[in-house]
Amino acid sequence: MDTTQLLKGVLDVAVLAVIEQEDGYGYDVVRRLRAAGLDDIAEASVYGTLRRLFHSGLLTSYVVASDAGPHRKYYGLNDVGRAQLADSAATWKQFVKTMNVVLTKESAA
Amino acid sequence: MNDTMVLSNGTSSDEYQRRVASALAFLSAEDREEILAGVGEHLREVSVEGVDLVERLGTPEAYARELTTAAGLGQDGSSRRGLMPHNAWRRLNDHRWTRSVATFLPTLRPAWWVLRGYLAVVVLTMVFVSWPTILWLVPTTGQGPGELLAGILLLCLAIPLSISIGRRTLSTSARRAVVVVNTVLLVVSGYALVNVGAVVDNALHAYPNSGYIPTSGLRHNGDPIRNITVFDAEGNPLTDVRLFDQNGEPITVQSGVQLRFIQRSVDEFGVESRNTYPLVVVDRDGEPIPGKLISPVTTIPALKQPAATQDDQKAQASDKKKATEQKR
Repeated sequence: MDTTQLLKGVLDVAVLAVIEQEDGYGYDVVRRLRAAGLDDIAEASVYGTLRRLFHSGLLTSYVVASDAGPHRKYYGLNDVGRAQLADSAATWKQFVKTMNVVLTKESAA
Repeated sequence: MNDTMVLSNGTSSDEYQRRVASALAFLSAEDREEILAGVGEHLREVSVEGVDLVERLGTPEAYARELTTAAGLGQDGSSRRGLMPHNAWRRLNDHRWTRSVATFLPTLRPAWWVLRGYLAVVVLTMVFVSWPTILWLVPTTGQGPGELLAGILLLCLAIPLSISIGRRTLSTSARRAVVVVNTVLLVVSGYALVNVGAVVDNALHAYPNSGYIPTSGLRHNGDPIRNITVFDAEGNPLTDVRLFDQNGEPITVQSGVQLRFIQRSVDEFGVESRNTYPLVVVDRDGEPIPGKLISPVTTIPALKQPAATQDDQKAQASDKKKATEQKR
């Protein structure tokens, strides 16, 4: 099964979870998602997701000057983002549990 | 394919970004600038790692599509521009004037709620009278102080009710019902107020202090005459006296009592006369009401010719003359 299709549905919650651990800029988020095992991630969609979440009021944003190279735009979670993450995570866990039951019955049958 | 080859052979991040930018041309300048800033940062980071951009990120066009889809700015989405009819409609909606009107109109809603309560009272008065009276801006069924008070009380109920309905979030079916009621109120009350307008004008010009609506009929010092009592030379009350003006027209009064509660006077030919005084008030069964001038339903003689009346007067005059002559 192509994981990129699955990833599209849960990219929001994945990005929110990464940023909750620590504020990050676009490429930093990409790198951390990759490091966590999401190798197939479409990097452009991470940038698009960050922008959409920010405009939806889930993220805060600030610019940090870096020594080597240009300024970087960092994102952090605000309260709305944290609430959204908690909600999405609960939904995801319930979904996984349900899927596991479904798959177990399938293999038992 | 060709593009990929070219790009693979050392395409700079500038070139890649330029093509992403042209693929984002459908976006507004503001959105595009903001997105390209992020793209620039991304491309620099990837370039530093020394990997081929197209191999890593796909073609610039695919990159742009991926990014805008994730950002909710997809080309079939809200930011699309074109010459299709719905875009003309959107442009109209986005116009400065349309927007200023659209933001201004909702601020008038409370004023409409108050007006709606007022119109409801106007329509309610029409249940009792065919045309409402507007007395000191209060819609009433008449000019009396009781009717005015009732009108004020109704306003005090209807306006807050209308406001509370306006402030409430309603279900779809309830909202539909409100729209129907609003339309009925506007049509009926609009019709009523156009008709009542002239009456109010007349009343204000004729009786600016009382708000009284003038009617035809007999008046004494401006007050309507409701009944006439007649006495003879000896001071005895007369009944069934018929009054006529200089033109021989019957003199009638606005009794303030409905006709069916006035005792009928019918002459020998069955013709009803309405100028027979004093008027007698009767109850629903036709019985005269005690305390009023009482007389039974009468059969009154047909009128004589006015010439005969003049002859009578002459005769009386000659009688008087004879009397004085006799005294001498």
